[in-house]
This record gives sequence, structure tokens and C-alpha cells, in this order.
Amino acid sequence: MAKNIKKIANEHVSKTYGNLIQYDDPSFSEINELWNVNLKSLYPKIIIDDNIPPTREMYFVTFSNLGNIKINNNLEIVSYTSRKEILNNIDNNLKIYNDRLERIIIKSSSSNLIFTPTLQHFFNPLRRILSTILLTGKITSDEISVFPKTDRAYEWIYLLEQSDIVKKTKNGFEYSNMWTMLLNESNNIRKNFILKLERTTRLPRDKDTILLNLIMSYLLEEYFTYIRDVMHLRGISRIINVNSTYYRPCVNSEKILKFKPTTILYEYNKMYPNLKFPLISSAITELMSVGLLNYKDGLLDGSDIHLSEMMKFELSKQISLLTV
Amino acid sequence: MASEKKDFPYDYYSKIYQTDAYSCIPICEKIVLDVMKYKIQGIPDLSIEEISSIIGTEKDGTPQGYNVERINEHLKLTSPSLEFKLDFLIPKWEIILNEVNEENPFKKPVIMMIMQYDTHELNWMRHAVVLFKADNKWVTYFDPIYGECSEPTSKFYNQWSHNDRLCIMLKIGQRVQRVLEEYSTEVKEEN
Repeated sequence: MAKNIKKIANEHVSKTYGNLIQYDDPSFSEINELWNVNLKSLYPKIIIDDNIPPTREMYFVTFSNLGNIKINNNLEIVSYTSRKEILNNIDNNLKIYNDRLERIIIKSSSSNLIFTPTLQHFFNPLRRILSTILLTGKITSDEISVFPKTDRAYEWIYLLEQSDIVKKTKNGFEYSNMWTMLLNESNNIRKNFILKLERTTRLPRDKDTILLNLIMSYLLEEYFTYIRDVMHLRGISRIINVNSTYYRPCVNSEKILKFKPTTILYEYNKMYPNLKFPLISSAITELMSVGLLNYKDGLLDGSDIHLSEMMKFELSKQISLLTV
Repeated sequence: MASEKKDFPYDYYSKIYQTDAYSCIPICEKIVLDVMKYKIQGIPDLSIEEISSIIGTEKDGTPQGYNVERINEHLKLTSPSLEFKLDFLIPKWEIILNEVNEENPFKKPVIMMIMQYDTHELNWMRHAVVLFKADNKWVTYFDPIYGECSEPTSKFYNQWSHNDRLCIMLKIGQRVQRVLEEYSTEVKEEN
């Protein structure tokens, strides 16, 4: 019986959906006395390495639940997910996949990203707040009121409070548990960040400055979408997106790849709003200035240390959990 | 070798690689049409996007049904006639060899639907490639993702068998063509 069900499913899948749709073995439900065939896809990611000679590779991302076909014991299809729904589900899975991948990339490169001129500019009010607390142990409401944009300052304070880095006092804010934890280097993840910072010789080495940078990178990795979408600091997007454009295929192929700058532009424009090259070129050089990208012989490549950190998040396992 | 180069312009392939996940069948049809332009008149210059729209390619790929023959509606003015014909389970390997290797009247590339592996050969997907050279030991085909590939026939045959021996072959000169435009041009020239 199961063999016949499989044959019907195979014919239906071939003719109804695109060639990227596959199906699992049928399973019988005693409750409604129907055979259920789960629809899935191993969705290809094509990666072109511009190294000499150029190579092309393909990897799959698993979308394990895109729809189903229900078949009765008379070998009739009772219901099935329409192709339109399947296409919607692919879109949703791709969005979830890209979003997760972007978060992993930000998480692993935030400690360097915050040293780019763009991030330094947008995070300047946060640096002021942290510096005041670092040097005086607190920041008062009066001191916050002299900031050029008080509302913005309070948005940063809110994030610090949410993360238990600062806590409210009678007339302002002072450092809290997370601050102390970071300062004492008791958090292993934070320790790794410090090690990584020390490996990059041009970056600051004294522990207080490192602490400020740790806090800023922590906020970036935890609250990037909030900072971009709710605080409306959209100016930070481009550099983050260019960084993700480079590292996304590297995570797929689990190795450092080489791309022409124009390839980065082509891939960027496939994911984000269309831009001309001069509008991403400065983001590329900023990433070069903090060691996230290198440029040699007309090709860009990235950092092994950061890629191996990205790989630690066991991306494939996370993606296979995707359901719609 | 020179005549083979004329049949299958290798340089051309590098310009037509697949960059998205789902366009393998339209790209293969485009390649076959462009290759056949060397021998058959009146083939329209269709873009990959146009072919995708004609045969119903979306983000999930192209359904492997007779929709792939819808392109024939746009080939009515070719001389001699040219049609894409979907075949599955029926074609024998010898037929494929004849299509690919026989010079007379036309040597015809065949679009083969195979199970293609990822780079580490861990998983597979249904995928279209253009077969342009084959014997019982070795095949050479153009894969829109990987480019030109050569591999043992035994391996390739398995990849094809696991996808129901599905292929898209060309039928040439089997349909009576009535090309009024050509006729009227000839009459004008005579006058």
C-alpha cells in the first residue's frame, strides 16, 4: 500500500510543484485514516569563489516542512498544499534562514564592527553614557539632560537597563550586575571577546576601554534589529549588510572565500535594496580597517577567527529546526 | 574538434551560469535554443526570464510535467520545425546516444533531469543539465550550477535513473511549417 501511495505522491509532486520540492515517506494516521506525505526541500545555495581559478559550489539548506498531501486508502488525493502556499512557505523559510544567519554573523563580528567609523558615530551617545559611569560610578538625570538628544540617550539607557548593565538609582543610573560581571571577566563568552580583541593589535588594550567596547558590542549583537528598526538608526545597516554579504556564503561553504568587490555588490543587491558600487565601497574599506575584510590582488577575503566563531553556532542544526 | 566547437560554443556557457536556486530548466532550454540557432532559422531570442514565465518556473523550480513543452508555442516560425518533447521512463540510453552523437540530420543536445549532488555529495536535488557528449563509458554535460562536467556514464546513468529517466529531447522537422512571413518576403523580392 505504502508503495502505491509513494507512486501517487511522486507523480503529484513532479507535476504540481517545482523540481526543488521533495517528499518524505508516507505515514498513515489512524485518527482520520489518511496517508500523510510531508513536503520538504533541500534548497540549493550556489556559491561562486572568485579565486583563481574560480570555483562554483552548491550547498543545501533544509526546509523540512513546506506542506503535505493527504491520500485515502482508495489511492485518491483528498487534499494537498497548493503551489502558491508552497512558494509562500519557501519565502518565509528563506527569510527566517537569512535572519538567523545574519544574527550569527553579527554575533561573531560585533566586537570588531563597533570600531568602524560608522558604528563609532552612531554609538557615540552610548559611549558618553558608559564613559561617565566608568569614570564617576554613575550618571545623573541632570547629566543626561545636557546630551544633544536626550530622548536618544534614554533609549540607550533603556537598553543598558534591560541588559542589567546599569540600574536605576534615586537621581540617575549606576552600574549593575552585568557590568560587574564583564569587569571581572567572569563570563566566558566575554573572555573570548577580550582574547579576540587582544589579538587585533591596533585595538585598545587597557581593561577599562575594553570594557566599554565589550558593552557596546554586546548591545549590538543582542539588539541589532531593535537599534535599527525601533531606534531608527538605519545608518548602521549598510555596513552590517555588507559584512553579512561577505560572510553568508563563507558560513555555507565553511571556509574563507575570495570575492571581487563587484561580486559583493552583485550579491548585496540580490538581498538588499539596489545600490551602485560607490555606496558600498566605503563600507568595504571600513570593514578592512577593523580586520573583518582584507583586500589583495583585486580580491576580498575575510577573517578565519571570525568565521570559526560563526561555525561554532552549529548553524545547520538550527536551520533544520525550521518549521512553518 | 572544430565542428564540435561550432555545435557547442564553450565560451558561451560561462555567460549563462545559474545564480539563483531554481532556474536550471529555463537555462537548459535557453542553452539548447542558442545552440540550435547555429543550424535552425527563426529561433526567437528568448531571455531566461521569458522562458521561466512560459514554462512556469518559480522559487520552487519548474514542475517536471508537460509545461516544459509550452516553449513550443514560441517556436512556430522555425525552419525546419523545432519542438521540445518531454519523455520519461521510455527513452533508452541508445536513443539518448543517438540524439547526442548522430550528425545527420542534426546533432541534438538533450536536457537530462538528474539527481544532482551538493559539493560534498551528501544530499541531492532534482536538477536539469544539458548532455552534449556521451558514450557508454563517459559523459560530458553542462550543468548550470557547476559548469562543464565529465563523469563516468555509470554514475550519470544512476543519477538520471533515480529521476525516472526524465529528459527533454528535440524533435526537428516533424511538424509542417507554414511561414507566411517568409513567403511574402520572397514574393516581394521576386517582384
